[in-house]
Amino acid sequence: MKRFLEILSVGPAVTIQDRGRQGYARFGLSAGGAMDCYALAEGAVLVGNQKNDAVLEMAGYGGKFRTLEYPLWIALTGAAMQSSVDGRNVDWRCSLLLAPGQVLEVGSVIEGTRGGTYGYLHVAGGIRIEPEIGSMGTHLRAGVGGVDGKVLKAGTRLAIGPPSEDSDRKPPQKAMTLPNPEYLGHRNIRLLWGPQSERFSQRTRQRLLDETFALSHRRDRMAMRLHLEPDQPPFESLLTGLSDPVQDGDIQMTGDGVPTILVREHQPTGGYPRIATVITADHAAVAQLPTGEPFRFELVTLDQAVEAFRLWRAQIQTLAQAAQPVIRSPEDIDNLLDYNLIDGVISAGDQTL
Amino acid sequence: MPQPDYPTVMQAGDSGVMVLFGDSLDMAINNAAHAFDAALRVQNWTGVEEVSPAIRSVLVRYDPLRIGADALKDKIIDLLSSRSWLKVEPDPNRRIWKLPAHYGEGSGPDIENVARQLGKSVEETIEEHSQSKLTVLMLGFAPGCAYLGSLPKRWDLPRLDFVKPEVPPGSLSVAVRQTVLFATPIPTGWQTIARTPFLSFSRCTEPFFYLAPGDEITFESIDFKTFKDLAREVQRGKKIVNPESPN
Repeated sequence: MKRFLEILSVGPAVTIQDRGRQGYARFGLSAGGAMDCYALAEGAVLVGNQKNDAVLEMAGYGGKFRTLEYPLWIALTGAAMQSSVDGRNVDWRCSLLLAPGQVLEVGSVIEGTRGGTYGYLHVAGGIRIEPEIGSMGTHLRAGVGGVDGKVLKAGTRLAIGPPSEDSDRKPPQKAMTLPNPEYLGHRNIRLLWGPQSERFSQRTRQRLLDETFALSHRRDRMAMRLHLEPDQPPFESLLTGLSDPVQDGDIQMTGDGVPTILVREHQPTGGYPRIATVITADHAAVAQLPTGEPFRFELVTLDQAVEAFRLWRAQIQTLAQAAQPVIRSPEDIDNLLDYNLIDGVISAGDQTL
Repeated sequence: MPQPDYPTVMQAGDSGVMVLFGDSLDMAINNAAHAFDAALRVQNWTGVEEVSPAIRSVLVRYDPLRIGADALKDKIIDLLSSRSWLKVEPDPNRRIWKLPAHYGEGSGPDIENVARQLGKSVEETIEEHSQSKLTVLMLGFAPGCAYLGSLPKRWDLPRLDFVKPEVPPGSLSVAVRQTVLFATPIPTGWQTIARTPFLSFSRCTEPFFYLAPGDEITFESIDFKTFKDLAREVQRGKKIVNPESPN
């Protein structure tokens, strides 16, 4: 018997993700990986997975999922979405045991001041597919990783690794929860000027800091184009230069004068001038910005950026200590207890796929 | 704006340092970037996570909690001053590829247009292109997508004023004294003159990428039947060409 997560229906942009593949930029392949690494780490803590176990990344909308034969510990992190199990609401950032036959339904992102764009579904044991070029993560632009390098389709059954007490993956003994993270509410995206900033006029650079912006619908895992209001004329656009290596968070000015933020699946090199770079500590926050939500850029110093990164990484590394047991209301508890947790999770006949 | 003295070292984001060797498409500048990239990669400095070269620059990505920007830049400047990078000879161990290419007809629909722009016959165009000794200036845009240069001056052709939605893997397209070799289906605004059955990227087979920055390439004109035969062998996972070394 094998563990599976069955996809009954699925949104248009659901992919398998992990931390991506580093080291191939020199061959034309950017790292890719989850748009929100904080959410990736939260899920690993909640279901007892390793840090790089593969998960489902759901852009805007999830789908309907079911487990076959085995109960599976799951958790949902990142942008909160309307979700339920057999009609009962499910809390975000909580581990939960999905019993065989139960259907987890993940709908649209819940709008609000802490709204976001990318939700993540984690399964204890991790999704197991054949890695490509060192990662299971789907790089849509390159057509690498995931299932055929593409978004997931309804009807797919994803193999799930066995959680086991004696491996590095320890399934939770009880449902755990994590507090709401602060970054999902960030509407101040911090940036640094970069090697090409001075090609732009002082006025253009100041404008990037002074005005309020929003992300347009033209956004994906490669790049996110800003939306300019009718009273916001295009920016100064400069001639394309020789291609240099580019990185996550670079804000490039396209030929039509619209700032575009490069994200995980960016081209590894580019000739469009780049006006600034979003600091690493704000990569998840900027990726999670809801489309159309007003935000501003804020200039920081390199020291401030590094300090923010130190705090950001420390938060991720101490997530395990931040996890608390879930306190459920009585009507939910009997639902949880009608399953024998231990017998369900550990099985002597269980084999690694 | 004053011109910087090259090479120059610049902060790029909170975890990157960019080293630039010049501001033009020039083989000495490109070679300097490749030589410095190779020298950097063998240093194994703590905290350096990835080094990647492009046409005239090298990006050093690092973990700012393991090495400070100033300390890293000092090391980079020391390494830069250890040699005249713009005067280094090309790597004596560089790989030399002779890639089969089918010019014109269905494989290179823009060849007549290119020949007209060059003021040459199609045959002369094929001959000049295939006899040019090219270097992999960089890989970028898409996996295994190689920018090759430089073609003779008269090949400084403009890009098309539209983008072709997709050209097949192996296509060779030209503009601005360069040839771009695609490994995946790609949209392009360059003029496509030929197609090679060789694919520089395979997502399933190690080492995944066959071309590296600094490799030397010439093309050998083949007929359509040979192209089809070789393409079939590539599909079966067979290696149709091996690189040589200058020695």
